[in-house]
Amino acid sequence: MLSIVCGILSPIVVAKKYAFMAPAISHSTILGVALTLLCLPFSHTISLFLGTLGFTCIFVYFLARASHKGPLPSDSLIGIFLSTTMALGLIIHYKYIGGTSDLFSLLFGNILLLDNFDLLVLFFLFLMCLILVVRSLDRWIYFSFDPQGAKLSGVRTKLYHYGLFFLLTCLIVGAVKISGTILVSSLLILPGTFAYKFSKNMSSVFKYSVIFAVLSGILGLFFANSFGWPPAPALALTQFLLFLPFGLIPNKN
Amino acid sequence: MVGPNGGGKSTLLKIIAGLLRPNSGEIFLNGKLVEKNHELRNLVGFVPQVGVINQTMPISILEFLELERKLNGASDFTPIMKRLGLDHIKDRTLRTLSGGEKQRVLLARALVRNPKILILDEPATGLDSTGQDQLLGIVRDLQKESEGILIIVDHNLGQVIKMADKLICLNKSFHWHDYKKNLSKEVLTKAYHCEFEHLLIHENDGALLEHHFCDGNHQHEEDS
Repeated sequence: MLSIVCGILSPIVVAKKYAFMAPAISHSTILGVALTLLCLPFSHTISLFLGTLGFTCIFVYFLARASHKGPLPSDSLIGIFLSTTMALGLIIHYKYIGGTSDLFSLLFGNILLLDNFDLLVLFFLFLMCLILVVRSLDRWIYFSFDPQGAKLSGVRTKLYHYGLFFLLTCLIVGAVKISGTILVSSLLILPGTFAYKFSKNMSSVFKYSVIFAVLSGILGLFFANSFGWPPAPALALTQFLLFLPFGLIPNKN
Repeated sequence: MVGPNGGGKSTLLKIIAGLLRPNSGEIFLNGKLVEKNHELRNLVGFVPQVGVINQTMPISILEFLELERKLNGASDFTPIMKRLGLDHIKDRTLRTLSGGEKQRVLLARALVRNPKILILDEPATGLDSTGQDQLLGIVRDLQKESEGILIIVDHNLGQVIKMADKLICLNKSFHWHDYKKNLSKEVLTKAYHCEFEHLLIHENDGALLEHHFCDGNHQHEEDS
């Protein structure tokens, strides 16, 4: 389910040159989790998820606003945002929450910690993606290709822009246990990059992206299981290895 | 619409197209006050500069025009493609096209909307002389056939002044708008200030004047 959602969103992220935004959002979830645990020390999974989502959305709102008003914020600014939120989150964890083993799971995922609620969240994300993105895929394509032209043609580009950041935040917070905050961005970058390399039209872009994401997801978990690798790094490495032979082929254009 | 870079031409175009809200002032169309941006958007076809074309996404000319047609409920755009010489390359992706071809695709996209107001924002930017001539020829034909309004921003003063009925000369501190017959050299000099001299220099291979530095305060004129 996670792979399918990443496969659908990745081409949009890559086309809009938001590849650096994905790590920025994922690193800020560390601060989101830290603040949630600070505010709700005896939290249930649901409140932990909702708290993390809420706090992270607040930070991501500033990223979304900066990139909507003008050209993309510089990579330096995104880098500052990324490292500052992560640093603040880690300090809060060490100083006020304590314990490092859960930090490792947060950073790098721990698929063994997945429970029914997490699966429900992923299913809900999958449904949201189908309803919000797949149903109006033409508008999303137009919005990604030419936001000004799309606005002129009646696409509510401001809604789509903030909506995209919201979807990415939901996805990244939902995927934290599977891939961790550090590596979740590879799920959002590689499938789209692979698809754009080979596709001659937009419908095949999304098809290839989803196939790549699902295949690498299954293979990644297979390698993790077979060789005893941690799942999240196994997933990221599998994606890279799958991409590598095709990535070396020079572009025809 | 003419004027130096940074004078506000693109901003004004986007306000007319309903893409930006003005900070102050009002817009009247045929004497009627325009209340909402979307009233303008529905009437406008906007042709931006070719730089807006996304170089990552493999969208073909046909797919691009089809996207526009679906959103606007327009009818078949094959005649537009044929007229702009795009029919034989309709399956090529936009990112592989030349500057002139891209500009014609953007023009085709605007025409699919059957606009009452057609806006072209520096359409010749990035085109070679052949591309510029082709585009200008198409625009001249559209001007003759259309009953709507055609607004064009261009820096090629000779061509623009020949084609236009009315002119707006715009820079940050000065604007002039009237029929072409009332245009004087003083108006253009005031709008372009030093840029006009630079245009003359470049159009005459530097034969007439020397370059000078200017911060827009006219002090150098008083000094000389």
